[in-house]
Amino acid sequence: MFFVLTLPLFYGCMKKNGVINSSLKVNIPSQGVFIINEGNFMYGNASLSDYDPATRIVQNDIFSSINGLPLGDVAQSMVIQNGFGYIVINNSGKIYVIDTTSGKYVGKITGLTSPRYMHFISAEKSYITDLYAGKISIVNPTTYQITGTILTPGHASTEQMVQWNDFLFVSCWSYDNTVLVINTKTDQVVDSIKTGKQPGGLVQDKFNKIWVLCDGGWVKSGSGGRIPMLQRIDPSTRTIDENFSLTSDANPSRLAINGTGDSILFINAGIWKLGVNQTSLGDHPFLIAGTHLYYSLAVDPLNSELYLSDAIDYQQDGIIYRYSSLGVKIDSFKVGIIPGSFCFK
Amino acid sequence: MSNNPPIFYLRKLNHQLFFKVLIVVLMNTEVAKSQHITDTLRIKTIEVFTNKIVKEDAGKTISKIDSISMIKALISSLSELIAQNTTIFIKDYGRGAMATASFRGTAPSHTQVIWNGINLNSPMLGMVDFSTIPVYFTDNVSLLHGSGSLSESSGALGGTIKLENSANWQNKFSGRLVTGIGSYGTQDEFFQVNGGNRIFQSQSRAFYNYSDNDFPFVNKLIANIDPQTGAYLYPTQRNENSQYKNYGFLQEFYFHPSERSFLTLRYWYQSNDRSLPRLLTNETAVNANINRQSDKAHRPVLEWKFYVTKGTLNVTLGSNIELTTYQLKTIVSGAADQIVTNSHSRSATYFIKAGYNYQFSDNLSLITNANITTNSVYSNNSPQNGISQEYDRQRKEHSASVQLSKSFNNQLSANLLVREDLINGRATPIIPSAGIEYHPFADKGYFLKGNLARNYHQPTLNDLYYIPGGNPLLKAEEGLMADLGNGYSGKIGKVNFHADLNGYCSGINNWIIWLPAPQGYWEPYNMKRVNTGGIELNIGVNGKLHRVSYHLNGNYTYSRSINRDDPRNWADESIGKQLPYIPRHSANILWNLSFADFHFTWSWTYYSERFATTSNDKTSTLNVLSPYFMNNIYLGKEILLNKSKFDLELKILNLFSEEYQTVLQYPMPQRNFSLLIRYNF
Repeated sequence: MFFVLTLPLFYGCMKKNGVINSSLKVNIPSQGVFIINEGNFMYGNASLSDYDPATRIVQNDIFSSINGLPLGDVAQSMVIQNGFGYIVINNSGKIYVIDTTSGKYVGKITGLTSPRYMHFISAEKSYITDLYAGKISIVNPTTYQITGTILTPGHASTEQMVQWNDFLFVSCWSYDNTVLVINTKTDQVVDSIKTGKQPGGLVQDKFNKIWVLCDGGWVKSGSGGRIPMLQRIDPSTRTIDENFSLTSDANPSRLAINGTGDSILFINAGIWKLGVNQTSLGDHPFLIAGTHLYYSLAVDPLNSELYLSDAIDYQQDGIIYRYSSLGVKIDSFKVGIIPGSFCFK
Repeated sequence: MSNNPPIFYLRKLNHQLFFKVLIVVLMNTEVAKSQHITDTLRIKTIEVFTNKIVKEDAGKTISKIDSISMIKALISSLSELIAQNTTIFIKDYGRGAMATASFRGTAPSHTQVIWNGINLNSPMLGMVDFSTIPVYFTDNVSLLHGSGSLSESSGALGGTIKLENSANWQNKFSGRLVTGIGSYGTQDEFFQVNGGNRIFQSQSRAFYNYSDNDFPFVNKLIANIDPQTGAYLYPTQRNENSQYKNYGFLQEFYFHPSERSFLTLRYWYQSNDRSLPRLLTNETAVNANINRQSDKAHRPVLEWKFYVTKGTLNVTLGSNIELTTYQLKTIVSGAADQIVTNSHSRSATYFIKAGYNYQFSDNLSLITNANITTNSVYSNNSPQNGISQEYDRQRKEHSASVQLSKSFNNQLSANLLVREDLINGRATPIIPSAGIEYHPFADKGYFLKGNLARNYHQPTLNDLYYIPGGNPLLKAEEGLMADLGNGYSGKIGKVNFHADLNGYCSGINNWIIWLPAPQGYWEPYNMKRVNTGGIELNIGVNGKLHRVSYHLNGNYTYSRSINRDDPRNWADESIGKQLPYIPRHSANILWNLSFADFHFTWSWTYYSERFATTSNDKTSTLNVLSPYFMNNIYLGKEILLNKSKFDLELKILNLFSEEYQTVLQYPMPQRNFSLLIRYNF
């Protein structure tokens, strides 16, 4: 009986939940690529990986290992400016700023709604797009303060950004069909361009033309008549001067451009590649999908090597495949959950 | 530099799944029992053990929650009662927020909850949100483990929780009042009044439950950097925007017009208004991403029971109608509110059930049941600036079962059940179940039992028709399950003792899970197979030591749920691993002492680590939920004032202020208190 009565006295003798040990030693090489693992929505298990193509050394979970804090919920994108990495954490409404040589967290931009991408106008001014806010936030990247907003009436979702001279082209993705033009001197929307449905990815080629990938919305979303398309915008005239329609059952994603700015790549089951002067998409992908369910794609601007991710079942560590610019497999390695984007140093 | 379609849809889907809850379906009740819960917390030593085999239950694992536990949890939701007293694992999204069950390592939709014949599982989502079911509104709770549930319905691959109410025919006028206050602006009110005679009884109950729920916590998952020292400063935060308000009433009429006839009418209305807490890593704007869910439920049920010579006829008809709205919005200064998600749904179940129980003799009986159920769901989801996505579907289910039960002698009983379901006119394969129970020592309480069964669980209407993603070609989940158990109940000296040790295993083919699809949204798909297996141990002891009455109930569960799907590719590490969020080990003890007018209860629960990944990866602490112990204590005293009996009770929850998470990154409160007064009249 005594045994039974004392049994409930056991308590609290396990490691505490939610405290992350930060004892791991991490050395971040100066070259290579950061891999941003989204993690699961509402799990808060986003993570940051580092890969050095020269040594093929992979280091996972480096943000929490170095800083003793989780990255947050759904890491969306990352940009590097002046030795600092800005990691946009979509569903945590914040951007973590790290020193890219030590990996140490040095500051954060908080109070955002659903941030997606960050673009630098100058050393003191950056723009942050948002999935739901209906505005672009203007942020000073050195003080981490929100200094202003650019309202985008009628466009709740603002997505990727590409700058041409003083003008910023912003895709409005979710349930939208617009690319907005913003004057970065006045921080005002000055023009808009109608595109296909759901323009997301934006890249700029070597002729300064801006390519936009419109995923067409989703097959079963009930909108009907979807035509996913790849379009090209002439930024000087703000008109679409080239249009490639995909089949209605296509699900294109992840627009990228090679290092020399002359080939456009995207995922549509396999990996498709298009020369910027080509007039047709062709019938065959550059790389076939095989047994892979490719989730993400990026191209190393230095040597045009391809990085492809496969999230497997989206609830375990995903895998990255590295291919040469000619499509020869070089390496494969495991990273974190749902590897979604890449940031080359 | 890339576009990211899945997250948006993932977001929408998860909000759908995380929220919205319950509803509807079927069958039989026991009217004539008069074992009403008395609100007396001092223990009466009742001989609850019987060594007689109920032939109809031979081989089944059935456990009941005792009346002391029911009283302790009176102002709680069913989630707390289940977590503290049974072998079922409750996945709890925080105080007042959604709670789902995993019974024998299965999915939330595999636990069915039947309240006086109405199946509370939502035909839309398949599961029950246990946080929305007040313990106030039920008198008896029992668990039918695994295939033991087949006498009620098919589909409960984990098991069934049966909630029942009953009338006290001796009652003239009585009632009870419970009023409580608690930490974080919490208020609980409950009122019940019963009146009637030997022919007619009425029971009316109402409850109201509100909480600001803004408990403070030190958030160690975010930190500001001290500009001077560079040290981390962990902010103290409050659980903002998580207030909840629930209220409801239940009216029951019991009519006993003749010796042989009982008629019962019940109507339960309830309203819940709540939200899902923010994650600990969230640092969005204060007015961003505010979610709110409100549910309304109507549950009328009429039952007629008629005793004929050697038999009982039982007819039940009822419905369960649930209306849910969910909104996720961001308040933007200088612009209109951004409504990110605006969804509403209506799910309705109507059923009629008839049963006939015929006793050929004391040793042989035949139970036949038939029912017709119509489920309909209208679901509308209007995303921001998007085209509203909706479906409106019905499913008609016919079901019939026959059970033959035989007692061979005082020591051996067996039964055989065969069930057949028609889903929208299409017959499922025959569902058989066979059970046997043996008491090797005629006058002792030791028994052995076993059960073998097949079971099917139909996809939910969301699985089939949700836009986007629903897959009308999904196959039903098919389980083969086996149970083997032994136990003892009886007296050791002056101590009443019972122990039950059961092993179970099942193979479930076509297990349904939702996964991201190439199109960017999520889709349900049939996994090839999941194997579950485990051990359940339940021990109960009660007696009296000098003037102290004691009562102890403990459970331990070992649970394996192993993914036996085909690997997606060479890198897939999920095969052979435990399914996410199911603990291997869990245990609880509820220990109650009473002395004179004082009573004391200690509730202790334990869960081993749980994995958020299918690969059970432990290299990152981000994806592992650490084991935890939880301690709650209850201190009470009965007070007699002018012939009126009051009971004053102080509850201390999370006694040792354990820092814990039941779901990744959802905040949980530290030590907190509530004080309540019960008054019986």
